[in-house]
Amino acid sequence: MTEGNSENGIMTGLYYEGTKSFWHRAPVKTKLFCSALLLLGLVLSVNISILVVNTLFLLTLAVVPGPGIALLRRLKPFVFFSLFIVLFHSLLNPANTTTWGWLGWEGFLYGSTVALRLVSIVGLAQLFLMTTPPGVVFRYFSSWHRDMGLIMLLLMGFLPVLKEEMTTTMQAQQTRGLHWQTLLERLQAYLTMIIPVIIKSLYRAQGMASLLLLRGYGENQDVQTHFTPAWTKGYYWIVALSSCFCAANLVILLRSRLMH
Amino acid sequence: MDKRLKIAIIVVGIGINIVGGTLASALKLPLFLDTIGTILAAVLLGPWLGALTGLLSNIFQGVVTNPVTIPFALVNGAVGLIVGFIALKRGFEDYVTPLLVGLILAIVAPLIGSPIAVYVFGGLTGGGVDILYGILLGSSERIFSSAFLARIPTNFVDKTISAYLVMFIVRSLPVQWKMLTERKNSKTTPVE
Repeated sequence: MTEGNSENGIMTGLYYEGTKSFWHRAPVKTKLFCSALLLLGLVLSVNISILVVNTLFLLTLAVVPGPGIALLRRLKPFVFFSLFIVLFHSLLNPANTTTWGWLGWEGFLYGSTVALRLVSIVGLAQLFLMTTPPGVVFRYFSSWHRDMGLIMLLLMGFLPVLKEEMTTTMQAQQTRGLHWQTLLERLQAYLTMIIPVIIKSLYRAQGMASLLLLRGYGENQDVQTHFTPAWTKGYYWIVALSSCFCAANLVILLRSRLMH
Repeated sequence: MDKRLKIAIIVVGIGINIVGGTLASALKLPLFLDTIGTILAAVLLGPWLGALTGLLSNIFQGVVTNPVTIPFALVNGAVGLIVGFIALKRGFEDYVTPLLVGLILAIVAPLIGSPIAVYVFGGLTGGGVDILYGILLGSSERIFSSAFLARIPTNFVDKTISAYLVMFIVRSLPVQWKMLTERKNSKTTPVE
């Protein structure tokens, strides 16, 4: 199973510890705000040439003060998928009129737009997630709503247990002679494995609820530690840069709309 | 009902979504099967908390494994909302309701999912559905409707199986669990 990495039982997710870069040190609130602005700017890109510039800008901003080459390595599967998108649309896009043999120019442009956008979006997401451990992201959620952070943090502890249960069930059913070759057999195997897991985890829900009760959750509001994220000085320039990026794209978009 | 149990059921629902999806891809099934937990939570807790379960499971997966699942949180949230309202109206213990849920979700899930897939991936998934998408694109000449139509059969089978699975589980749950939402047509009489 490929679900998440974990170190000493603690889920590390996509977090990259190799370097302690500028983005690693930036507070989570600033990072999330900047990522949102950069994403908005990217979505507002008006045509493919602007999109190329934006993609290059975003990747430079992500790689140089961030995790470096490691980020580009994470993008590799998406680059291959992007090439597949470009090829697919060059061959099959219904807008193709200018063609060279099997390939069409309009489809190529459409595919390239989608591919560049995909790589930039994934690059941005990776930038945020490689420099912020999942625990910090989820604790930040609790500053929006207490229970939301709690749900995510409980889940971080619960998921490894659930996976273990899944493995146990799989082994138990295999001992009883479960096998899967044909499609129907695989579906049956799925059901015989998922049903016990669901029932067991519902029992666990009851246990989890009593644990929350025992620890006084929901009784005394002062007991819980509140996480109040703050803006930190020294990181304002990156917020300003992101705002400029977003504003520049908006201006270009508005200008091209007004010209036509 | 107890707030702590609600939180625990949401956590468990998200866990079931993630494990269900992972198991489906591990067994190489041509289905997603990643909304079982959402449907279960929506039946037990009602539409809004069901929607929350769906939204948070995609966000969790996005943060921990694969960021591109985050936009599809909207689909998972809508599944919770729709199943929750249907379960409030009809209960979830007869043989007709899961089929109804499957039919409605076969339309609604691709209706929300396809625009996202077209915008982010150009309509491609990297799986077997792409062949059907390619054929439809060649004949219908429209990107959105091809991506939409190609997703309907998979979604129908996927959501119907999930809904029947949840129905059988909900039927065999003890009475205390079934009273989490008030239902009009429940066959079991509530016992205090």
